[in-house]
Amino acid sequence: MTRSTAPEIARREFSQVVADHRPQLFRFLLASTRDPDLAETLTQDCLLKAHRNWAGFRGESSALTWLMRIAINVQKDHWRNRRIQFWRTTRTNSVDVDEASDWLPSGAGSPEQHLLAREQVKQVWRAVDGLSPRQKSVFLLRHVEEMDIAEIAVATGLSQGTVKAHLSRALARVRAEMEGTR
Amino acid sequence: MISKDEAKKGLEMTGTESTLRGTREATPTRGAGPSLCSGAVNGAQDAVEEALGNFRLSVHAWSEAAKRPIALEAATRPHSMAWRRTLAWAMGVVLAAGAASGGLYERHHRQAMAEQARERQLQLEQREAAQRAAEMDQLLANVDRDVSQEVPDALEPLARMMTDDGGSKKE
Repeated sequence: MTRSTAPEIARREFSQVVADHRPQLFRFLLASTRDPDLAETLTQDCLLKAHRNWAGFRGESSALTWLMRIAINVQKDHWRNRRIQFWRTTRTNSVDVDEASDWLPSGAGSPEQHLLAREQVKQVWRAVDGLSPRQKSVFLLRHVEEMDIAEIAVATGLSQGTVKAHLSRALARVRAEMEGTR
Repeated sequence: MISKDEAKKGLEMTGTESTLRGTREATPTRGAGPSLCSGAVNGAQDAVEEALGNFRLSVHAWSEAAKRPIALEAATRPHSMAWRRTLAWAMGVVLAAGAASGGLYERHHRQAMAEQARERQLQLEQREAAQRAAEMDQLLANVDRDVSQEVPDALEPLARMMTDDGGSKKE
């Protein structure tokens, strides 16, 4: 049996981390951008950055939290980029709220229940549209990725109190959206 | 489609803390004790929780449907990219060299063919010229023979007097 070198071990560890957490990264970026192509690109960028900095990861937070932090920064850089800013206004592949709401898991249910669920998902998407980027990230990490407050605080670089405040405002908006359309 | 129970069951199945608990954590409380409108508040809260559960399941379903085969190798092993680039360069060089040598060979081949064609043409022309010369000699020989056998009218009496062997007839 041959002995593995340190870079080889690190590479294997990183491969495992990627295999474990790539779906979450992609899902978070998909929910943030509502653009599958862009989400795929940003996921790749995120993993590339993570790979370059893997040696610097000291395990102070979980790998997923660390990856989410990179994903948030990659997303931020993407929108900040001036060249992208131009294209953002002229060309976007983001699907609209109606189309995004079409995605519901298959299962038993009456057409009425299906319609109701679709309408609820649409309302949440509308509410998410009205959130600031930071509120949106916090909201999606909590309600899509089911991360706890402490993890969200690490991933976003905010204090736990600020995370709670953002969540509270985001939920108030969801509630307002639901009451407004009722 | 997704009932509240199903949504809650889905949350339980993930093995994580309930989304609903987080919702409550972040939501300001609406009064410590029971109130007259607590039923309505609970109903609204339930609706929000159900909507959030459906939203989460919807995003998960979309993500599952949209995800592609993972290019893990590219992400985890950038050096494989360099290896591929080197291979592409090598193949490019081989192709370019092949194309260049093929071109040279083709040119050389065409020159040789042209040379052969020229030689064949020359031989053909020489053969035709020789044939024409032979035909011309034959024609001249025929003319000489015909001319030598025919005698002008003025010399006819003299010719009659001559024998075939060149002597004169004695009458």
